[in-house]
Amino acid sequence: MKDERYSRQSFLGKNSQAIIESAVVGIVGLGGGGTHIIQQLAHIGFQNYIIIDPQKIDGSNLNRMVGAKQADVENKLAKTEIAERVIKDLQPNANIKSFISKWQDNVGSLKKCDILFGCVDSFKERHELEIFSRRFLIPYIDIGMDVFKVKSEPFRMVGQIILSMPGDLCMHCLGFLDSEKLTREANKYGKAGGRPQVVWSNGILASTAVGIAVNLLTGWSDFRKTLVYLSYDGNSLKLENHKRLDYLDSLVCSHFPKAQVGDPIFKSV
Amino acid sequence: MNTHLKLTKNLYDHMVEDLERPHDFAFERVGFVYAKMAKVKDGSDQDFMVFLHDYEPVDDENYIKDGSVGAKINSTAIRKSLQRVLKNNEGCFHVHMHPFRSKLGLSLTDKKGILPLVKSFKSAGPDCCHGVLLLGIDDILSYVSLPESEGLVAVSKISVIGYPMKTYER
Repeated sequence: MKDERYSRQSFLGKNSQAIIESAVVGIVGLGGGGTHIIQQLAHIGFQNYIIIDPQKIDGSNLNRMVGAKQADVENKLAKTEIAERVIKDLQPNANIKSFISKWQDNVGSLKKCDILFGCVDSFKERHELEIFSRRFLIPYIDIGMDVFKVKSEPFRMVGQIILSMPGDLCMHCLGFLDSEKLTREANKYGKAGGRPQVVWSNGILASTAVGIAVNLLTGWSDFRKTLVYLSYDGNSLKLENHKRLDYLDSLVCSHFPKAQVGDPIFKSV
Repeated sequence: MNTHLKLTKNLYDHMVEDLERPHDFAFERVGFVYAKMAKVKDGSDQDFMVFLHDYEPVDDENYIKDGSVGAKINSTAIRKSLQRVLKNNEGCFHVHMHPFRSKLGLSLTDKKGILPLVKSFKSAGPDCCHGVLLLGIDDILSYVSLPESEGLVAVSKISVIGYPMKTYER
């Protein structure tokens, strides 16, 4: 039964299923992007999950949360409970550690991840997740989308998928994060409100992120880059390398010194 | 209790490139790779993680001619690594290669020489983890001495972080 189940993905390599089943994946943020990722990981055969989100589902999530039902809103389920159900429906024996909390309050388990997916809402969260991932040498895959309007122009839908690989360029090197954006976001604290989100663009971003993860683990394809920065244009329906990549030759990351790994050490002065 | 050791592929490639260089008289090269640590409290489990972050080769002039062993290094080389452990409060792993296509194991020479060396590292950096790292063609082996414990334990999982990610489990 198991051989038949994964027979269509045997091209991933001789030991690919064993690799997938032993990998530990972390997913921070279980909204529209995170639940898409989780569903795909479960289909592929991943067995070890660490899932974190502090929130309960509300009605506005139903337009995009994969696996969510109307009854979940009425029953005020935590997003982690819905994600667990999605996983268990496909992988009844999966090992799932779930935390209804901010991820910063449960980093013990996250340190063990082989790959970490960030599906969060703010630059600050991304910045902190990247710091954490670099410290514990975890490849970090970030996805996100936004819809905005400039003056009288039509709405623009944009998104990104970034692989931040320890030892390679980071989200600051890529210009995706910088101190100005973080400061501007901090100044808007409490005024952010719900971001526009739709299921189809989440699907594109999530699918690509999962593809990156599977490729990293199995090495099945000839795409060998450890630096990925894909930009999604939801208006023209294009997913392509971000233009910034053209200007990064010979750049070495200075934001994460090599020795800044492991638990921080505190010295008495 | 499990121990998981991680290093980037960049560091791994750098070590292999250096260790594969021929030496005038030594049969093999050795080096030191420096490490930081993390404790992982996951429910009731207490695991340890070791992160290798920087490699220093032993300089050519610090090898001693001795045909009975693959490589022998002098006190200058050892003192240099001890100084770094003391100054930076970081762990140190002795690293060399067994360029064979098979499951790795420590040689008799390795077993005799490693424990006294690790004890020296521990005296310079008692709060850090120290040990030995052995690189093969398709395997990696490591033993570590954790803070507050004597002796060496086999590292249960070693991950090389890059494309593709490689994991070696024991």
